Amino acid sequence: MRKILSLLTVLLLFAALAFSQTRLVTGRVTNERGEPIPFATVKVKGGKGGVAADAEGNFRVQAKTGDVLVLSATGAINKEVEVGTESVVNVSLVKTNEELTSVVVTALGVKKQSRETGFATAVVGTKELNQGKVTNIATGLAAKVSGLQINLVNNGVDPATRITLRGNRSILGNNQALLVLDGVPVSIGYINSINPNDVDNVTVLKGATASALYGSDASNGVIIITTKKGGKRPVIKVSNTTSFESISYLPKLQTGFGSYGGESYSAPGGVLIDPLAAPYFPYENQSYGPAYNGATVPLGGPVRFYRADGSYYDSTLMVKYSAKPNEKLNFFDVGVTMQNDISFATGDDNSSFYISMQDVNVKGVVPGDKARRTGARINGMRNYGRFRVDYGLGYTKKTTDQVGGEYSQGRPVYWNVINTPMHVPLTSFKDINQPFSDVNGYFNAYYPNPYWAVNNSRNKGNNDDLLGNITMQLKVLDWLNLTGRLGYTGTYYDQKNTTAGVTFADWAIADPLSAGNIPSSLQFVNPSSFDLSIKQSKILGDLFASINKDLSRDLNLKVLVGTSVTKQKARALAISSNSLFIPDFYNTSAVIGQPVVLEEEAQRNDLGAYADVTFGYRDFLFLHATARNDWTSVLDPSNRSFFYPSVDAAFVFTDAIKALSNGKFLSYGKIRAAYSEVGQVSLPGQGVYINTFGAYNLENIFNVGFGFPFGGTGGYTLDNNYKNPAIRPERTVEKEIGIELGFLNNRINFQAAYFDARTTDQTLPVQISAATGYSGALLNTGAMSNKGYELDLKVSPIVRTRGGLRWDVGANFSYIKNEVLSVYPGLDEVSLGNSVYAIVGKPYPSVKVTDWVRDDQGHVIVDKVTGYPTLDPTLKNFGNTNPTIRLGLNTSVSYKGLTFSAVADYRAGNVILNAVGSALDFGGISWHSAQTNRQRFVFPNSVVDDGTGKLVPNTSTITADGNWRFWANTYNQASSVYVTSAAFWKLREMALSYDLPKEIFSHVNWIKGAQFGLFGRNLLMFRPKENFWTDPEFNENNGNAIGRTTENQTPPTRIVGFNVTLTF
Amino acid sequence: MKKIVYSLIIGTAVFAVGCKKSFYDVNTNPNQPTAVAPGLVLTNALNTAAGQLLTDYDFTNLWMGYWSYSGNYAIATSNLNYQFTNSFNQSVFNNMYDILNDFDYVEKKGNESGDKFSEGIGKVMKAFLFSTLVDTYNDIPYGDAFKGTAVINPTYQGAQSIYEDLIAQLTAGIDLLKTAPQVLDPKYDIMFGTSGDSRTLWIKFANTVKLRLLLNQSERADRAGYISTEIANIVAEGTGFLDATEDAQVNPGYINSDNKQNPFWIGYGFGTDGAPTGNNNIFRSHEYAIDWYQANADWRVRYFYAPTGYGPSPDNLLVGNPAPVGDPTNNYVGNEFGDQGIPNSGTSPFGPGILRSFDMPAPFITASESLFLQAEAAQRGWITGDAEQLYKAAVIESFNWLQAKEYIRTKSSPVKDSIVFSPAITAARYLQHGEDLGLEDVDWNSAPDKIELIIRQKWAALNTIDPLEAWNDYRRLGLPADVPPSVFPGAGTVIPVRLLYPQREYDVNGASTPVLPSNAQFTSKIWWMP
Repeated sequence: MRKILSLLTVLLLFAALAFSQTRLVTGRVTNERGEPIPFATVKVKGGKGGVAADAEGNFRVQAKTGDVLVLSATGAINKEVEVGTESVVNVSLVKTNEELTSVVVTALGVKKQSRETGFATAVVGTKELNQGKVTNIATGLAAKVSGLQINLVNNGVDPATRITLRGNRSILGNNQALLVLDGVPVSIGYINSINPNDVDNVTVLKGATASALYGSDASNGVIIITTKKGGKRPVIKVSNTTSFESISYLPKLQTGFGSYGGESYSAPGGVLIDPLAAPYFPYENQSYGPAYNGATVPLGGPVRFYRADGSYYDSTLMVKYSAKPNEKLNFFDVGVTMQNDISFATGDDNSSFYISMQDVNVKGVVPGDKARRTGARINGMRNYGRFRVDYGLGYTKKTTDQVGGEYSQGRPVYWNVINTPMHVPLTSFKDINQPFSDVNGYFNAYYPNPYWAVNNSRNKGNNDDLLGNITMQLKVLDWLNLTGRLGYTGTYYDQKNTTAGVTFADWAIADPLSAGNIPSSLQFVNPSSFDLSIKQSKILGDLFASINKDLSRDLNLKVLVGTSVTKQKARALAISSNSLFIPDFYNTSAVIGQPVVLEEEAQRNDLGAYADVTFGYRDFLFLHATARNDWTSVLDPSNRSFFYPSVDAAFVFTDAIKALSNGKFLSYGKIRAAYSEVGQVSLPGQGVYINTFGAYNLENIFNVGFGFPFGGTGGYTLDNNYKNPAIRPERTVEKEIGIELGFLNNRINFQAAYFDARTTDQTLPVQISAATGYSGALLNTGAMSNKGYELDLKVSPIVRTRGGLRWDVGANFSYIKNEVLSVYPGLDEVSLGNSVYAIVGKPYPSVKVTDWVRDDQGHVIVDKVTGYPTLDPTLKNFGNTNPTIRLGLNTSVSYKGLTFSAVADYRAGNVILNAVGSALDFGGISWHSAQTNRQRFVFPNSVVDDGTGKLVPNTSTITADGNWRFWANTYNQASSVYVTSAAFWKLREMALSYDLPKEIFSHVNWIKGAQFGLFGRNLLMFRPKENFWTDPEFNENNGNAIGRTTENQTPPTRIVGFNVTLTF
Repeated sequence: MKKIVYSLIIGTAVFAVGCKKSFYDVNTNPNQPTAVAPGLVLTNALNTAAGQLLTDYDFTNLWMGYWSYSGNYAIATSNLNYQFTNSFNQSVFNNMYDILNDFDYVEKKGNESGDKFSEGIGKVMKAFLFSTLVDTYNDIPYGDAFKGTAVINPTYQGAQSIYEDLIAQLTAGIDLLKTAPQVLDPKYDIMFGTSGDSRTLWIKFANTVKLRLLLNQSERADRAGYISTEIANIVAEGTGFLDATEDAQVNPGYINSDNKQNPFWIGYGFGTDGAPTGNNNIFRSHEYAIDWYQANADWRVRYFYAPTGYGPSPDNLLVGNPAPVGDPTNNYVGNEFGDQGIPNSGTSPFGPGILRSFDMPAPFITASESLFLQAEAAQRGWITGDAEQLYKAAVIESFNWLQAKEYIRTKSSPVKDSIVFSPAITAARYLQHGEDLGLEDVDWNSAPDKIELIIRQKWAALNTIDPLEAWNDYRRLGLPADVPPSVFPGAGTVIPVRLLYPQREYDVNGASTPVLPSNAQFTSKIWWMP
């Protein structure tokens, strides 16, 4: 074929020479390094229209000798080349940083010019992603893209993340974006397993239109990660990043009062003792005792010390009765993350190769918590004539070792820290074998030493991820490509939780202080263990044909037709052994009785067929339509097949309208519009440990009865959820319009988008009356609206001097209005768990909690005798928990080799339930509980019955108690007092790096470059004064019910570190 | 190009259609069955129902003077002062309907498959369990229940009409049980399967439930005619009531393994390793009950409660304290409900009669309760029989159920030198002692009001075993008259007469769920209350 083409060229050349006519000129656009620049625009100066180069930079244009070709490409300086007599014109363009109209990878890994897309996309390059030296890609994306919201669930050593694009669509189904790694859709959870340094770029397809081709999983938008390929020259990079993490904010605490928890409040005769007059109780966890006075007081009871000869004496620990406010902070460690990277990349004209290894070793802020992630990746490409193969293989091993619950009530460590009065020298109990620290001698009669769990209750996870993909392409004709792709992801997960047994000394069981201490209650605790093993795999095969053909000089046609097959499988085995009979031997074979076992497995098969057509007119008007039909095994045959289309259009008006082209001020302008429909199989998972991919929702099931089987006697119970064979996929209709503008030669880039999505026919497991025999039923009901707009502004550069100073700034803004339109006739709301609800006519999701009984004006009504407010039995809505406004700001300043960058963001428009506040008030160490100095007081802004039934402002009825009974037993019962604004400003990233001048290495040939950097993450956080608890970005888990934090999340942290990278 | 595109599309379509069977046919549930025999559902339903009645009514144990809270724990105020919300003990309602749905399946599947015996059991158990719901909530969803999404908002039906239908259902159940061609396979009948005559015992159980439902209406003068008609029906049927040793209780074969112990043991007893559970620590004895048992020289105090200062092993509990009643070394201490003055180490936990072993049976209606019901009915003249003899038999059966043995120390010596009396003899000695001293709460002849005596002793026997029935008697007759209300400040002096409808009902079935007046827990009576 090529020969024929060359022949043709020669013939044409002759023709051109002979008649000085236009002829075909071919060429290739590359960058300075010889790598192709895809989709450059090639115009003949003075002529109309132009052509676009292909993804490999190849172009063909009609021109005659003497014509001047104008080559422009995104991110490159325009270049003019005069056509001589040659037939091949290769042009190399110099890179700039104006990246408005960059290349985007759209569905199926197909590269497109940004100008072609009729929907919102964003690209985050490796530099931007990694400037804060993140260990997790999600963290590196936060605040950098409008419409993209990243929530870190907590700051543990391996936190889960929640990643949503443009808010939420499904009331109870999945709302997280789909992750596509090198063309293969994988579960979003894998984002934590990918080495951020392997990432070449992250393309974000924000709306449903962009993703119609990935099938129903992509209705929540797509995050496409493209990993690195080798360049032409061999490069070896070695780097070390070391960072330090420390607690940045503790909740606001009191420092005035010590231990008392209501002991003997009712003497045998029933006489109330004024809690304020109560003596100090040395063994109490609650801090409702006398004010600190600096005296020396006992802490805990007499502790028995044994001498070598077996005799013993009792001794009581004495401490100073004054606050030691740093003890809580000092309980937490400085976390250290050590990250080592090595990568090697090379290539030639027809191949590239990239290999990397990374080891991330994390020591967390909670003592003893650690995690390690070790991974390797091999990527490669090989061209062989018309055939090209791309492959990638990544392996990641992740181990985590985190503290579990303690032996008494299974409480998290932070709870036990909270339940430590302020005068207690907590950190001095670190050695749990010391008599004053051990299970017998620890002062606290009701909650164990937090260091016990640190040492003896461990949850260990081991996760092996294998991600592989092979893509084969055959260029059948110049305009026809066939692509086959095979992707595999496999996860092998093991978890083992162990809690040590405890034996108490007889003297402790005897409860010397009559405190009702743990030893006297528990007597002993046997060790326990929990084992879980999960195997999960997904195989995806794609086969598609792509066509790219100029139908005429002005009209280009791109078609993609294909089919995709997905097979998913999961299997889990879990064994819990709550009582083992050999201390420190955590094997189920040592279980007392029989272990509790669970076996689960699931599979799902899907088939999709799709077509994607783009018409391009003169490279400025693009019409694009997609259609897809899915068939899934998890639905009933009658509902199994579902179809969804999308259309979009893009119009580059600066190119289309003569008057605007070559504008000095307005250099680029595009408007776009899109409409899409997506079906989403959003069925609830049925497993305990695996997600069953939505399978098994059609038929009522029977569960094994609790405790069954007993010997040969089996027992089953009807499942509480009423299943539904007629369930259909949810449907999202999304409309979107947008504008993209470039000013001053694209130095200023501006993008705006408005979207309006509505998801109907939701598959809701609604709660139903227990009298139906079931607690929930799966129904196609409910609708949600999701509207919003996104603005992106980039000034690049804002300043650039000849001396090498350059300053860039960028900002992105998102506004989202997520509203529940309907749930089910007669039903106004559904619970998402964690006090969070979807409520008809209200933003999604909203927090609903207990509150006081109030009058019409919202004043709390207090009891005329006790002065206490009473709890309203009806829960009240306190508003939206998902931020409606998000603003991200980033900037970078560079001068010669020195680069400074920073990212900050603001989120607002939502509230958070700081349920940890209730724990703090219970414990009595909260600042809250000491506001009135533990004195009785008039409940602020309250009203009271004046005796005639009329409510009048309360000025004189004081609370019957200002101490534990009020704060720990009454006040903390109304969760409304812990709901605050969740607004915050965060300085997320700040980095300073220095590239040593290249000249330094000019006389050594084994080293090519070196970079040193300092960085910090989460350096500052500003919250409204009312939120003095914790980071409002945290959540209980990464599900839809965002908006509540408890003692399960340790306080927020700050990270600083340094980095050294050497290039060979 | 067209050719290629077409062939791709056709290829895809062929693939999609061609592999329909094998490719899509992968979602037969491998984790849970979708159809099972009624017997396999019955086993679990019986076991769960017994557990539900023993554990979800723990609040009535507090209200009826049996239990109190330990001083170790911070207990939510609403659990102490009767000022509770709709969420308070919601599970009584929600779990019971869940269990009833299983019995409904047993009944329907039994009918479909011609298994009349299972169908009859389903009817009887549904009637019995529905009565517990009426006794707790008055009007409830009944005729509309168990229809899944077909009736997604079940209406609330009048309690009296439900009660009357329950009697009718029990009659229908008895007819099925009488005529069923064969009895249920003993391996599924974990209640009466091993008795050798399960048919008779199931019918007796149904008659006993009928008697209990009729007695609940005793204080409604307008029900006298209905009651005598239904009593006549029971008499005409002829099988009678549960008699001595005929406890209606289940045991599927409990073993000492996680989740496989007796359900009360799991909730309020000990782990497989013998370590006390959280509830075993949270709930302690009530001073009121201890005082009563001790004042009446009642050995059962040692079986309902354990002495303070003893370890969790039930084997130790008796050994440490074989002192006779009145011996100053006996060490039984309780808190009052609402007062958490004394911590665990100073209060009595549950005793070895109600926590006998991990494999003890879980009762619905004990023979003792049945005999107390019969004694009351006889005393009221509803049925023939000697009320005094039935009363005494009921007391003896209570001792038998608890296996309450009396130990008399011969010297100041350990237990091995003691004289040990069997439960029956212990009970006889107790009755004799009451007669000798003329104790009004023990001795038939000394008691000025025989109904009061029967209910007082019934209260003493139902401790922890069937606190709902004790609460029924209290609400019906106001007996025992001196059961102390919570001493928590602000609790008032009235013991609640009902629970509020669950919050979930208002959330998801709001249009049907009756709106109760404020303070309904004190004022909104169960229909049969006077």
